[in-house]
Formats: sequence, C-alpha cells, structure tokens
Amino acid sequence: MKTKFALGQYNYTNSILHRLDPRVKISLVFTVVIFLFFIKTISGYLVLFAFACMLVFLSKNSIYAVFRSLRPILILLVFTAVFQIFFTPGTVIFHWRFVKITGEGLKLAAYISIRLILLSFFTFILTSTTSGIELTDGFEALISPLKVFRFPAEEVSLMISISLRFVPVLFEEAERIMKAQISRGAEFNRGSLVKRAKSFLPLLLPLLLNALSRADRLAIAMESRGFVIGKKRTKYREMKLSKLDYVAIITTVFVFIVALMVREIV
Amino acid sequence: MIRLQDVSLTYDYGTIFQKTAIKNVSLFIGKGESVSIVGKIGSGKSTLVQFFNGLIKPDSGKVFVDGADLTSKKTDLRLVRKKVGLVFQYPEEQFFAETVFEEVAFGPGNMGLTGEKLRNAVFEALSSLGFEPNKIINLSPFELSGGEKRRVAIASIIAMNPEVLVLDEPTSGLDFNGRKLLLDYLKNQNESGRTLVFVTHNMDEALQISSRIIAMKDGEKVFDGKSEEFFLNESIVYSVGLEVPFVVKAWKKLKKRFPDLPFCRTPDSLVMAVKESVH
Repeated sequence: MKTKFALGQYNYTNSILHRLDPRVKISLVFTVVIFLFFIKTISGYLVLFAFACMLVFLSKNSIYAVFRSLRPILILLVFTAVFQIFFTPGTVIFHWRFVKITGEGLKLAAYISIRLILLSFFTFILTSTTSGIELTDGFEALISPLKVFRFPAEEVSLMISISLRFVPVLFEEAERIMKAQISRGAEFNRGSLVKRAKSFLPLLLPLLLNALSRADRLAIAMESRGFVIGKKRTKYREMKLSKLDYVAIITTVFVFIVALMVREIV
Repeated sequence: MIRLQDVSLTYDYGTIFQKTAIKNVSLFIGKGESVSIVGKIGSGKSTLVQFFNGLIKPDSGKVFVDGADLTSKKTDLRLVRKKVGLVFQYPEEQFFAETVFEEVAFGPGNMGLTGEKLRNAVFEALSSLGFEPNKIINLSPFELSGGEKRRVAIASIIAMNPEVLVLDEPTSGLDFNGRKLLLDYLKNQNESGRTLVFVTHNMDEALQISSRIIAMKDGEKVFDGKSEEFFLNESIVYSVGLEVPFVVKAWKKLKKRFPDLPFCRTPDSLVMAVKESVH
C-alpha cells in the first residue's frame, strides 16, 4: 500500500469545530497553549485533558489519527521525561549505584509530558479542523492590526499560503525526479557521506530550477489576473462571528478558569 | 522479457484519497516487440510502466524481467534498470549537468563505464539520435531547443544500451519536426531489435509505432492485441475514451471505393496504396 505524501492533518469532514471561525480557533488555541504553563495541579490538567478529549470527539477525528499526531513529538517526549526523572534534585525515593530518582523529578517529568501531549492535542484539533486557506486567512486577519505599524500583513499571509500550497507539489516533483534519476542508475542511499551528499545534486538541482521557473509562471499568472501587491483584495469567504463562536470562546474560558482554580487531588 | 502477473496497486489506502491505480493486470512483452500502452489521463498507463524497472512494487502480484522477480528483495534492481531503460514524461526537466556530455554520461557512468568506453557510449547514443556529437557535447543542455533537449534526454537512456526502451509520452510538447524525428528514430530502434514500449494518448502515433496495443481504463487492462484489431473496433476505442486515428477513418471510407485496399499505418502509405489501387 503506497501512501502519497499528504501534508498536514486536515480531516475532510464537516463537524461543529470545522464550522468555527478560523480567527477564533487560532486565538483560542494560542491562548490555551500559553496558559497551559500556568496550571500547577494534576487535577487541573485532568480537566483540560477531558476538554481535549471532548473536542477530539466533536471534531470527528478517529482515535488512531490522534495518536498518529503524537508520533513526531514522541522522541522529544521520552527524552525530556527521562532527563527530568534522573537529573532533578530533591528527596531521593529510589537509589541504585549512580542512578537517583527523586519524587520531584517524577512529578516534573509527569507535568512536562502532560503539557507536551496537551499542546500537541490542541494544535492537532486546530489543524485537523481548519484547512490551509482558512488558517492563512485567519492568520492574516489576526495580524492585520499590525498594518498600523507598516507591517505587510497581506503579503506575509500570501507568502505563507503560497508556500503551503506548493509544498506538496514540490514533494511530488521531487519523487518524480528521483524516480527518473534512479532509472538512470542513480543511487541515493549508498556509499560514504560525501558520496551521498553528491548523489543528491541530480535531484536538488532540477528541483530548484523547476521551482524557479514555476515561480515565474505563477507570478505572470497572478498578474494577468489583476493581482497588484499592496492593493486591497476582496475575499470569497467572509469571516463573521456566529453564535457558535461565542459559545466556543465562553466554554474555553470557563474550562480554563476551572482548570486554574481546581484544588489538587493528590 | 517483461511479465506481469495479477499486479495490483492502491494509493493512500484507508483515506478518502484511496485510489486503485492498477487492478489485476497480467501481461507479457516479448523480446523485440513494439507495444503501445494507450488510455486516457489517469488510466494507470504511466503507473504501469514504472513496474517494468522496479520503481514501484505492486501490493499483490509479481513482476518478472528476464525471469528475475522484481518483487523479491534479492533481485539487483540496478541490473534490471540497465536492461529496461525508462524515459519519463518531460525528461528534460531532470537535467542537472553543465554539459551535454556529462548529462548523457550520467546513466552509463552509474552503470560502471569509464574512460574510452564511456565516451564511446555517449557519442554513439548522441549520433544515433541525429546529433553531431563533437558539436554538442560541450554545450549546456539548458540552452538547447525543446526538441533537442528531448532527444538529449532520450540519448542519456540510450547510452546505457538498454534491451527494452520504455517511453512515457515522449512526443508531448514537441513541434511537428521534433515529433517526426523522434517517431522515425523509435521505429528504427525497434527494427534493429530493441524492444519498445510506448505510452501515449495520441492514437495516430500508437498506430504508426506499434503492431500491438495494450489499452488501459481505470487501472484495468481492457484490450491487448493487434493494433488493427483495436482500431477497427470503434466501440472498444470509444469506450476507453480514445479516438480512432485519422488514417484508419480515411482508410475505412476509401475501402468502400477500393475494396482490396490494404490496411495502412501512416498517411504516406495510405496515399501510396490508393495510387496503386487507382492504376
């Protein structure tokens, strides 16, 4: 079973979370991620965890997809946890030769792991329910107040959306060129490091050249459709806050207050 | 030479993008044959030829080249790729070298040729494609014309001296002259013994080049046989989503006037045949 390169985790369904305004989703996730580090109790984290599970359920994602989203941070997670367990000073609860495990270390490791997992959960919920276009539109709207300080908000968001759009195209092209060079006897995974690095030249050079010529064509295509840098553009999708968005904001704020106030149970 | 046995391939299994690219295809291509693989865009013809040199492996089924099983891990795919030369669509987009010589020498160099032997392979390949090697080897491949680029790209495969030459839409984007040069070259190569597999959706070219047609539709093989048989059976041709070649249409009409007109593959030969019938 071949898997073609699929960037991102966007889940093509329609759930309540898909219908939320991207601006609301982005700013809520942003706030959640920051305030995550102010919570100091296990019970507070349990509240958030329950909240995250509810959101996953609402977003119609499969449990499998959620765990798959954790895979990239797995190494980081294990590494930091191990580091905290063994190198945090405090009351020793386990001692064997030079290995010392402290109660504080265990607690800290648990906190950091939970924080990382929750962080990954919330960003997963955002990216699985918001398409690339919505993300950049939302991002543009959120940074547009910076235009007062002459910050090129539209250009930056256009740059982001073009790059997002062309990453899969580049990957597909890389695969095609790689196959073509393999057909000419090229090998990408054999020999010394220098040899390997050299063997990538027949892949990278055509890829770069084609990308440049594609950029050129894209610029011409955009200009011929009336695009001018800095001119005001109208949007097909107008972003408007609905009742659902207010419900989402109020719920999130409420859950956070509960998580911050709740007493320690252990 | 090349044998596929019940080959199937699915992309993105288990997602909403799931797509069956190839479905239970079996075929055999013998030494010295000339076969055109035809079908609409997305019919699986380009995917199919990537099995021939082991670029992709089937989910189920077997692929053999000269008896070697390409689905087995023990098979040295480099030897297979020397035997089966695959020219991708728009092969000039893979250029990376500073000179035409280096570009064409990339393949045979990877196959282990050096020095005089490498030079000979490059020169032979270039001159067989109608170039004067001494004039062109020091040019940059990027400054050639479209047709020249295409022929240099094909030379870079020919320089490896493959027994089977597989080309994926080699004439797309070429002008009339470039097209004619290339088709004549391919016919020539096949006549001198090289097995030819030609992927195309241009039916006139398929008819000109090959005596055998394999038609693909939605990843399945729907026809495999003589090209006359294929093109004279309009219902099959249209059901695959293709067009009957101009020469065949003209031949059918003329046949009503000249009942003993022989089947013709090119406009030129049709004109000749009609002239003979008139006399």
